[in-house]
This record gives sequence, C-alpha cells and structure tokens, in this order.
Amino acid sequence: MALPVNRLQRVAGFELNALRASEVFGEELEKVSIPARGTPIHDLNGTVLFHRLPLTRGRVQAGYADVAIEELFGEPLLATAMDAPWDEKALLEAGTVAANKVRRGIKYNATRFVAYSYPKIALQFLQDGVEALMLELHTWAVVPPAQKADRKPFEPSNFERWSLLEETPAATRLARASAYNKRLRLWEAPALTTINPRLIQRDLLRIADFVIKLIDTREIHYSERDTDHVPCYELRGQQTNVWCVGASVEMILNFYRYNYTQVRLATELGLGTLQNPNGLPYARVGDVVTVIERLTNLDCTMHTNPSWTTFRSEIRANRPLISFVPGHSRTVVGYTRSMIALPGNVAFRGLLVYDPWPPNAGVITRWENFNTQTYQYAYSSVITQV
Amino acid sequence: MTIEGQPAPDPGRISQCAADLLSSGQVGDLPLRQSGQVGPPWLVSTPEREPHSWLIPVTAGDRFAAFFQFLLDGTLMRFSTFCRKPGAYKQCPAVTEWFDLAGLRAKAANHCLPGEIPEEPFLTFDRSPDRIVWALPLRESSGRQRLLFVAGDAVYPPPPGDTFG
Repeated sequence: MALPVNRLQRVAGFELNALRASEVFGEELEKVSIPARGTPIHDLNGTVLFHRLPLTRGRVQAGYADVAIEELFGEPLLATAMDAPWDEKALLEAGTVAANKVRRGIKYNATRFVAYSYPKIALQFLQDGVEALMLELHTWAVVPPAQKADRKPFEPSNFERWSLLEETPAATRLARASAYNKRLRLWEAPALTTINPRLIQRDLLRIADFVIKLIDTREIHYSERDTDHVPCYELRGQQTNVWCVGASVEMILNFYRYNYTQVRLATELGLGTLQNPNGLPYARVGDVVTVIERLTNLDCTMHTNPSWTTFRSEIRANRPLISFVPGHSRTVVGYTRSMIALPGNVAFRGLLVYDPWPPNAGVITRWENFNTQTYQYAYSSVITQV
Repeated sequence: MTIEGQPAPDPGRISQCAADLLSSGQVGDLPLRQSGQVGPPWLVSTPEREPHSWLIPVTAGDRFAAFFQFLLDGTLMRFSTFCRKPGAYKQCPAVTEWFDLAGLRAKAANHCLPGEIPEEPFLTFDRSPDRIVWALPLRESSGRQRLLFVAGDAVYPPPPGDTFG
C-alpha cells in the first residue's frame, strides 16, 4: 500500500535521523528540518512515485530528500542531496518561461513533475488531463512522445520516456513491497511514538528502549551462547608454500578438538611431504570432504559458488568454514554487515578470515570486503556423533 | 568503504584513508591504534606486472604488525594482522623480513642458478591477491627470465596455476 502523505514527514524524519545516528551523515545534517510535504513526482502513468522534500536549516535551503510513496522502490528513502537546493516555485516559473518559448501561446491548466525516465525528472504541462508539453528539468528540452518500443524493460534509448511502474516486473514489485512495508513497520515501534523526528539530531534515536541495529556481526564462539563464551579459534600458518588446504583443514579440525598435524593431513589429502610438497589440483576439490569425513565424526558439505547467505548462516550456527578462492584456501569464522547505508550505496559486508598465508605465519583478516573477492567453494561441517 | 572522488585516488590519499580507518577504530585493536605506524603504500602488481592494488603496512616498532590492501580505485579489500592477540607483536615478522630489498635478494641468492642475475624485485601475488609475495626476476645471459617468489622465509618458483595451495 502506498505511504499516506500525512506520514511522509515522520518516515523521512526517522530515516534521516537513523543515518545521522549511525554517522553515515555528519554535521551537514545536524539541525536540518524536514517539511510536512514535498513536491510529488509522478510516474508517466500519473501515479505519485515519491515526494521530493526540500530540507532547510533555519531559513537556509539545505538540499533535499526523495521519499518513496510507492512500494516498488523497496525502501522509503531513495536519495539525498545536501548541496542541491530544491525550489519548486522557482522551477515552475522557469519551466513556464521555457514552455512559452518552445510553444508560444501554449494552453494548459495543470502542471506536474514527472519521472519520465527515473530518476530523470521533467515538468509536464496538461490541458484537461492531456499532456500539452513535457520539458526536461533544467535543460528545458522537449521530452519526445513515447515510442512503440520493441526492447527489453529498463533498456531505454537515449532521451526516451518510460514508465518505472509498468516496466518493473510483478515479482520484483512484490518482493520490494514486502521490504518497503517491513521498513515502515520499524518506525512504528512503540518506543518511537512520543518522538517527533521533524528535526534531525544525532542523539534523537539514542533512547533507552529503542536500538537501531546498525551492524549485524558475529564470529565463532566456544558455543552458540555469545553472552558467556568468548571467540574460540586459532590461526595456523601453512607449513609449505602449497599447503593452504592442509592448514585450513587443520584449523577446522582443531576447532572441533581433533589434533591432526598438518603433515598428516597433507598426506591424507595427497599434498606430498614437507620436503616435496604439492598443492591440491582443481579437479580434486571433493577430497576435502572425503578426508574430513574419514578422519572425524563430522558430516562435511561442499558448497559451490557460496553466497553471502551461505557464510552468514553457517557462522550463525557456530560452524566455521573452509573457503576456496582462486588458487588459495582459508577459513572463515565471522561476518559483519552494515544495516544502513547511503541511498544507492551497497552496505559494507565483510568476512573474518583466518588465512594460512604467508607460510609459517598466516594472518587474521578482519574484515575481507565480500564484494572484492571471488568465492569458488566453501566447506562446512556438522558433528554427527558426540 | 571506498574513497570518495573516484577514479584512481593517488596513493598518498589511500595512505591517509588507511591512517584514518586505524585511528578511528574502524579496524585494528586498541594497542595497534596506540602504537601502530601506517607506512608508505607499496604497489602490488599482477605477476604480469599490471598494477593491481596498494598494500599499506602498519608497523609496531621493528615489527610488521598488519596491513591494508586497497584496490586501485580506493576500495578497501581487507585489513589483515599478523598478531594472534592484541599487542602480541613478538610473533609478527620483522619489518626487514618483508621490506628490506637487499635482504630479499640475499635470501633468494641461494636459489639462483649459475649465470642468473637478479633484477629489481616487485610486490605481487601467487595466484590469489591474498597470497602477497615478492617476485624476484632472474635473468640468464641468454636473456631468458624466470621468477622466484619470496614470502617471509619461503623462497620458491611460481607453482602450477591449476592448484589450490
């Protein structure tokens, strides 16, 4: 369901205050006011997609925030621009002058702002509900009429008008609607009912019984009870320049209290000897499962092209993983992810990696940027018998 | 975690970003924040000598305690430490073990074949950017060249590419 306009200010206020509380935004957002209404921005089909809210500090314009009315965006806060004032009245005046230049004596009885090619905006002039002219904002170029497009959705040609609502697949809209409404429910928490978020202040949301979860993070513990058990994992360096797999298996087995030496594990994995070592050929990635299951009471699973969810789920179940990246093997024992990010930015996701490289040393990587690595295989193990 | 103002920020700016991340507590532990020194950036190239990333060491006294690795566009790839426990620098490698290039050549000298002349080493990686090594090009009088990889106390020729190791 679309967001009622009378809730716009409140939702925008909480979203922006959350960014301030998490210090995604700094002082530039402090003491900035959010208006009750903004400029409605329509889809080509006339539906209001979002409102552009002009932000002010005192009497000074301080940029704008775009807040979704339509659920298809998946999140209420779409964009912020702190150095671009939004003056609807001035734009209407400039647009009217431009329209009269383009078409002398143009007749219209209504105007509206339209996302003619989201996020590009135009000013539409209407006569009795029918478009008389559409000019792109600021350039005041005439937006051409719709073409009969024989193309895939979201692949418009240059300066083509298209409808965001009509080109978004139904399944995507459904998924995004669910995410959007989940986010709105967050701001209906009982602890927030007495708060007026109209003014952005760093400490506004730092109240006793409301915690914004800014970071989701966990690392392997002695048990699944975080409160009374500390992280419990040891780094092992690889003993030769080609035994990363042996060292990774050693780390995992040590966690489960199996004490095999790296030399023994290398033998089991077919990695040669200390004097004449070799790596694990790509064709033998399945050997890791075979060896772990042969030497232990663990049930080992190999995951091909593991996703973020694979790592997160296993860590949450208190199970460390072996992670194969091109040419190398390490173990993963924790994760972290930011729960909030600037609109349009991907929130940071990182893995805690116990890496046996360099030889006879190893490093603890806290954190490895998940978006900069290629994850080929992962191995997780479950105890089958105690 | 990227540096604003893409593309390709200069290494000095990346180094400053690393220092900020450490001093603000976004990476590293308290002892490292208090005693760690962010060193100059080192270019990491692919074995084919194409620029790949920047490695920025963090030293504690004479120890190589930790390092950052950034992509050329300023995206943080990772922050890694040699310390098993906060402040346990004794087990970290000596700075000279990784960044004394004369020592590096000396270490590799025992692995040179007769007639091979070591050339200028460069920082690279062995198959995965996780596996940082120094590459020491060795040139024969015939002009043929091969590489030796040096990582800490390990000195070895590049292994086959189709293995995990």
